Parts: sequence; structure tokens; C-alpha cells
Amino acid sequence: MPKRDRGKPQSRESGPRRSRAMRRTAGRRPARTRGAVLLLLMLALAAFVAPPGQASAAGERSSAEQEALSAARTAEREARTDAAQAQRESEKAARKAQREADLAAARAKRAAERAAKKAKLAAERADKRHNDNLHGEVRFHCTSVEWTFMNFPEADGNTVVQELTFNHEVTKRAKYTFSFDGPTSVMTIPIDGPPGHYMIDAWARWDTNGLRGNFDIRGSVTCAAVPAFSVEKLQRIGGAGAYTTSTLPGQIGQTVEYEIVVRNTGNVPLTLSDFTDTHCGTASGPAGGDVLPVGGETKYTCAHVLSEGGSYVNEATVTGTPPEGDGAPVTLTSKPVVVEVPVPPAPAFSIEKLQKIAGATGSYTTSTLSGQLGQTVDYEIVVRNTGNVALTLGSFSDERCDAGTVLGGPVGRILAAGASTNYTCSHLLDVADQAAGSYSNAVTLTGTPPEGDGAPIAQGSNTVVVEVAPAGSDDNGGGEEHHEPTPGGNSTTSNSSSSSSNASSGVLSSTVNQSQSGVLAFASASVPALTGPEGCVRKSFHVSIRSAGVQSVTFYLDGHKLKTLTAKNAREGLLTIEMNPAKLKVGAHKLVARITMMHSASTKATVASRKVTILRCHSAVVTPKFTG
Amino acid sequence: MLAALAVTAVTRLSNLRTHSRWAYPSAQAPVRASPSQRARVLGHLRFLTGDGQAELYMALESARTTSGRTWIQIELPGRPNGQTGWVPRGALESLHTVDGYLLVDRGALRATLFRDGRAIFSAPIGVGKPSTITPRGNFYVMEKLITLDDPLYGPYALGTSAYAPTLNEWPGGGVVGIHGTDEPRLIPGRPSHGCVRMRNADITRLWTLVEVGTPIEIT
Repeated sequence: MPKRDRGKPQSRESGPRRSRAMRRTAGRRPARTRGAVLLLLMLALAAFVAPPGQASAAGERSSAEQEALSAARTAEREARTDAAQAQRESEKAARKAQREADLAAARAKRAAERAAKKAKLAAERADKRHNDNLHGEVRFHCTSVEWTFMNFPEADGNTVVQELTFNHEVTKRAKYTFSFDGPTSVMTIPIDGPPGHYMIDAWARWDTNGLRGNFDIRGSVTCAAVPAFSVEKLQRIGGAGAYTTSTLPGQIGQTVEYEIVVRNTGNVPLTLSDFTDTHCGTASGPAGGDVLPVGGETKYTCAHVLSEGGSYVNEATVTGTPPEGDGAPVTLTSKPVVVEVPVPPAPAFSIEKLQKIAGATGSYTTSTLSGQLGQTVDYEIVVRNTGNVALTLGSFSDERCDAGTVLGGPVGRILAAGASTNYTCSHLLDVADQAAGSYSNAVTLTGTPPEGDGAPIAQGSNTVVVEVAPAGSDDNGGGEEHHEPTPGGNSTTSNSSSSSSNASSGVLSSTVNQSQSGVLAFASASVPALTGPEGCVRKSFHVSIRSAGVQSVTFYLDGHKLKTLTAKNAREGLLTIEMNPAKLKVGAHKLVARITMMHSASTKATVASRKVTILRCHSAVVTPKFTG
Repeated sequence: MLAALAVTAVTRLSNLRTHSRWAYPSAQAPVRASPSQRARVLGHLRFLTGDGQAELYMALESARTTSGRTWIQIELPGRPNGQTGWVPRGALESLHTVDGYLLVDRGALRATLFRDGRAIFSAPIGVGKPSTITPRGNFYVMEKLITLDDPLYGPYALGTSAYAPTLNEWPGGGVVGIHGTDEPRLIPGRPSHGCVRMRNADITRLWTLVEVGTPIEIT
């Protein structure tokens, strides 16, 4: 705004700040002054034009003129006075307006300076905060405040002083001192409080190892009601020592004392239920319905007298119910605590015999099956150590199995506690079985515990029965649980009485079979199955076929010929080759046995094939690809 | 459904509790949606697991068709979990039996092994986080591995037929295992990517007690 000249009066139009009164005065006084001047001039003119003969009247006129002149002077003086007064008032108003304008300008300048200074200060603070925040981050949670300190000197003993203020209330302020080694560290300060919204001010200051600074980071969290608590069960034996969560050794007759500590780790009070512990005697402690405040802790106690050997596992269950509207009740079970009581040795084992018709589908069963003359019954004997000590099994022999067919059993005949092992064997149904109408089988085995752990025990299996169809029957074994044609096609070989003489030796008469069902029927009924390992093979193993009726067999692995065996190579009724899987690639391999059967009435032998899948696996010692 | 397929007899092979049957495959046969050669193919039998062990299949039922062919209904491992399908009887080797099952209770964070209906082992476990949950359903023990105190898996591990529902790109396909850990303080809890973690002493005990083919129920 331009400055005004204080020495000159302001015109009426020049001062928008001039008051209305001033404008009225300035308009009236010049009019009165002009009237007085006009009266004075008229009186002077009258005295000048009066005739000289009017002498007597001249003295009167002279007096009147003086009065007029006097009045004129007075009027003129008043006029001047008024004009001067008006000018002074005008100047005064102008000065006042100027002063006000100057004050406003000064105020605006100061305000601008203050704003600039504030902005500069804010920028400096932001810059400093940025620099200080390079040394720290703070994350706010409902249950904790997580501080991360970084870019500190690579030195030991970096120390910071921390302060947390909640909702700007001094009474809710807490101080901490935290020391750490190296440039970076993370620490957490747990907080708790009732549900609600919190403003949290996290302030840290440091002057350590040559680095000085501070930061002040503010945040807020809105915390829902979190009903939570912990249950910890501790134990001790016979009142000795401190309570512990560790497994303790105990003896039958000793008393185990338990202490169950319940802590409210949530942010709302909890009403506790009655304490339940099925493995403990009468419990003492807070009654059901007691309220556990936030952060509060209470204890229950109970005891149990050890009455038997083994692991005595105990855990406690408590339910905490928050106030209405603050969530659902929470039920927690403590981690179990264990007392190990020596268990007296108890040798025991079970033995179960199962059976199925060879070549038929379906699993081994304890059920009674239907069989035919010339069919083979395969047996599986499952021995399980149900005691708590290892057992050395006796030599397995089963007179109801055909000689040389028994396979399996544990290495070294030692069966570990809880382990199981399988034996297999078989029997060819012959005319004697047919005459008897059935063939039953059971086996007895002995198990000897380690010295001092008890006497040897003998255990008998269940009995399994195959009903043998009488001569002339056309039953094809359909009474078995799951039966399907054998790979050769028709499995309904007719075992007529004329075949009995050969059946007793394990070879069916081809003439009889050809006359009824042809060569395929013969092959299906009499060509033995190939027995090999199932699942992974990692060590040498055997593949074998029953030698009865077999003239020769040639083994092929993945199409490559391995070996040919003839009847004279049979050992204990089996034609067997040994294979070493070490040379096999990981994966499945097909082993085919091309079998040439003896033929009593024809110069042309019958040939059939049997196959098994050999599975070479990776080592079981492996880092798996589980999700973790 | 089965009646429409001319099935003459259906036999339950496994109750997944006290008497269950399983078998190794004898061929990489197709697994079909129903016991028919014309049924839709759901997948194929496999010989080896992703860790190079023998794959096995839980046998649920057998069905004999009017043509005399016997089919076996199996659990088919893979995504989605819980698939079943049918294979010809000849596609499987002999059926093996197990008389127990393993209950994995995600709520109680506890695994319990039953044999003949009786609990013979129980231990606290860690299961999957909410973002990588341990799947619910019926599965079985596929393989027993020795992990030699691996930091992630402890001394022993059991492979299962379960697959983590969310970790499609995980190496090995996202198989859910049962194994030990070097972080026992997280047990019981929900710290894993879907596997069931146990303390090393517990997995050692379970590993000796459980057989391959043992049914697993995850609740």
C-alpha cells in the first residue's frame, strides 16, 4: 500500500477510512464561512456608496460599519478556525488510517515471517525425524510394541532409553532401557489393556558409542476383546523338589502332586469353570465361577497315587468365560506331564493264520474257502509281538504246509516289541483232502523273551478251513470272497477223478483237460504262480515258482533273458533265482517267467508266462519334499 | 450307481478303523470313476512316491461285475483330496491288512494311534497355519522315511496320502508329512505349512509303532 502525505489534508473522497461525522463537519463549515464573508462585503460596499451630505448619519453609519467590520472579522476568524479545525481533523484521520494500515502491514509481515520460520522448523524436524527414523521403526500391536533399532554403531553395548505413552496420559507412561550389541536389534515390549482404541507414543533417545539422536513415533491400535489364558501343569513326586514340567521317574505306590497354574493372558477378565482332570484326585483351588482378572494368576492342586507301570500322562482342562459381548468361552488343555513308572516285563505275542486260493483274487482271510482238487491254498501267518520285550521266535514249521514252501519271518528270528512279521506257505489240495471234504490248518509257535524277562511262551493260531469240492463237482471256487478268472482265461478246470493220480503228484492230466477245456484250461489250472517281493527291494531277493510239473523256466527282466532253470535245479520244491537290485535303476521292472510244463501224453510241451513287478526304490534315508 | 453297472456283489474291504487293506500296484493301470472299462479315467496308479518310495493304495471295497471281473475301489492320492476310484483286481498286488488307525485331531492338537480300537499312543502335535491348513479327511501312511535329525524333519518322517490344499507349487507336489522338528516349543500349536509336526521323541515312538498303509483320519 502506498504511503500518504501526512502534511496535506485529505479530500473527502480520498479517505475511505474517514468517519461519517468528519464528512458532515467538512461539508457544513465552508458554507457558513462563505455567508460571513458575503455579509462583510455588503457592509463595506454600503459605507463606500453613502452620500457625503448625510453627515449626521455618517457617524451612525460609521458605527454600523465598524460593527459590520467587526462582525466580518469575527466571521472570518471563525471561518479560519473552522477550516483549521477541519484540516486538523482530516489530518488526524489520515494519520490514524495510515497508522492502522502500517500496523496491518506489520502484522502481515510478522505472520509471514512466523509461517516461514515454522515451515523451516517443520522441515528441519522432518529431516531430523527422517534421520532418526533411519535408526528405528516401531510397530504397534494390541499386545505388544515391537521396536526395531538399526544403523547403530557396529559395537557392543548400544543403549537406548525408551518411553511409551498411552493416550497422551502421563500416568500411563512407562520407561525402559534396552542394550544390544551390533547395529541392529529387535525388541518387544508387551502391553495389555482392556478392549478399545489407544494412541501410543513411542519415544526413544540414545547417546551411545558416538551416535546421538532420538525418534518419536506415534501410532494407534484398536483392540478387540481377546479372551485368552494359559494353563500349565507341573508335577513333583512325594513332595520332594520343585514342581516341574519335565518327565519324572516314579515307582508304584508313590504320590504324584500336580500344580496347575492358570494365567489370564488376554485383555478381559475371565470367569473360570470348575477344574477337570480325569487322571487326578480331588482338586483344590478356585471354585468354579471365580473371576480371574487380566494378568491375574491362580493355581489348582491335585494328586495321584501311582498304581501301575508305564507312562502316566496327565493334563488338565479349564474353561474361561469372558464378560458378555467380549467373545466366546475358551477351553484349554495343558501340555501333558509324564511320570515314567518301570513296567515289569510282559512277554506276549499273537499269531493269526489266513488263507486264500492261489491265483484267485481277493485278500487273505480267516474265513472258510471253497477249493478244488489240484488248487493250491496259500497261507499267511501273521505274528505280532504284543508284549513289551523282544521275543526270539522258535523255528517255524507247519506240517500242514507243503514241504519247502515256508518263507518269511524276522531277521535272526528276533521280533521287537510291537513289531510284527509274516510267514507264508502253501498246500496243494490232493485227493486225500478231497476225500476228507476239507483241509484245515493251524500252527503253534514259541517265543522266548530275554533272560530274566520271563519264561518262553507258546501260542497257537486260529484254524482256517478250505472245503474241498467232491469228485465230479464243477464248482470252480466261486465260494471264495473275490474270485476272477486267472490270467490264462478259463479257470474252471474240471478235476475229474481221472486226474487224481496225477493230481496227487502235483501234475494234472493234460489229456483230461484238453478233452474238456483245451490247453488254456490246462495251463491256467496247473502253471504255478511266480512268487517275488512286493514293495521296495533294496537288498538281494529271491523269485521262485513251485517246481511241481515244471519242465523248465526262463526268467526275463525288462525283456532281457536272465537265466533258465530246469526241473533238476529244483530245491525243496522250488525253482528259484536270486537277484541283486543294486544294478537296477530306480523304478519299476518287469520280471517274466516263461514256464514250460511237463507233458505226459504229448510230445509238445505247454508253455505259459507269469510275471511280477520288481520295484527298485530310493533309499529310505532321505530328506523328504513335504510341506513342512 | 453300482447296480446300474451290473455289479453282482460288493464287499467292504476296509473299515479304516480296526481292519483295513492296502496293496502295492502291479501295473500303471488307469483309475476309473466306476467299475467299468468305459468309465472316466481319474488318474493312473503309480509305482513310486515323490520321494522314491513304493506307492501304495488303500483298498476300500471290491465289486464283482456280471462279467465276472472283480474291481477294487481305492483312495486316489492327489488333489483334490478325498478322491476314490476303481481299478481291476489284477492291477494291484496282494492285499495287506492293518488293524489300527491314526487320529489327527487339529482342534485338540493331538495325534492318537489306535490298534484294535485301543489307544496305544498319543502325543501333542503342531498343524498347519490358517493360511496353509492341514487338510481334513481320510488318508493313510504312504511311506516311512529316515531323516537323520534333519533340522526341518527331525529323525523320522511319515509320508501320507494327503496333499496340502493350497501349496500347489511345492516341490514334490505338496505332500503332507508327519515328522519331527527342531522347534519343539511350537508344539502343540499351528506353526506348519500343512504337515503334522511332533516332538522328536514322539515321532520316533510313532514311527516304530505305525505301519505303512495305516489309515489316518484328520479331523
